[in-house]
Amino acid sequence: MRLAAPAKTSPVRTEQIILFRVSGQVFAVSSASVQEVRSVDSLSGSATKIEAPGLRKVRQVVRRGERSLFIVNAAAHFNLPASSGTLVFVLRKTRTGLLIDGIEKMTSMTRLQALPLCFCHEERQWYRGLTALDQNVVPVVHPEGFLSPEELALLDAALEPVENPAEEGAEGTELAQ
Amino acid sequence: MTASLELELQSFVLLRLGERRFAVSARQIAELVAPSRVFRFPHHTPKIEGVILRRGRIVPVCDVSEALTGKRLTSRRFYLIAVRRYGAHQRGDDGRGGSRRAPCRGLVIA
Repeated sequence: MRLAAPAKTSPVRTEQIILFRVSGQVFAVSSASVQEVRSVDSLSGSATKIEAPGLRKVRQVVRRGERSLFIVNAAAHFNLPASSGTLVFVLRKTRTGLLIDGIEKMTSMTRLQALPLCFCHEERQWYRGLTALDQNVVPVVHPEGFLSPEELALLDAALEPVENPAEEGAEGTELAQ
Repeated sequence: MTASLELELQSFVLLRLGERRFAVSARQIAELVAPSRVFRFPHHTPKIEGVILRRGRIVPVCDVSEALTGKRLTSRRFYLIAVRRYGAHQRGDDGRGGSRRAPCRGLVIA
């Protein structure tokens, strides 16, 4: 007699996330997407002003050798009331530094629910989905969703050429991948 | 030749929005629930208020009072969770590029 094979139980997949605040609204980002956490003060020395037409969410750029890191004001991106950003998330594999108000906590999520299809505008690019945490619903942001290829082209066009791009200081917290 | 008219017996949920009454086919209704906390987050889709958590599922909230009565109502006695299909012609996000009809639970506030 052959016994039925025991049902496979797949371990619950968890993903480490950082909960952060922008103008009183809490968002989540995968901690694997955050390369560095910098204070605004530590970046202010190396940041230069940039103005791209019709793109008020980016006002500063940080040159890192050949690369330019565009600082996106998260409050302006999400059309939230202006707030005093204190931290910048340097987002991995992007050219985005995200200006936020503060970090709420680090936690893990076990389930990411797709954004319901009735949400059919820009938010589909902004969010990977929604997660329920402690009886709250938190939108999980898409690191690539802060600057579209068109916006990056606009910003590149607005960049002033730099003779000797200075490497900015290495203050800040490097997050392990 | 006689034409026979077959009447199908249907059930409806009757609801009141302000001073007006409406009927919704019971087939379209998943459940009626007491109002719970609406979670709001930034988005650009008009008429969607936010989402509620219902048995661990996230359900979008659509306030239909303004569209149906011309007035925005502030007091709600219950939520009516409707079974709807959104994005009939939208591409699926499964990476295969095929179009699909996506079942989704929508919410009507009464």
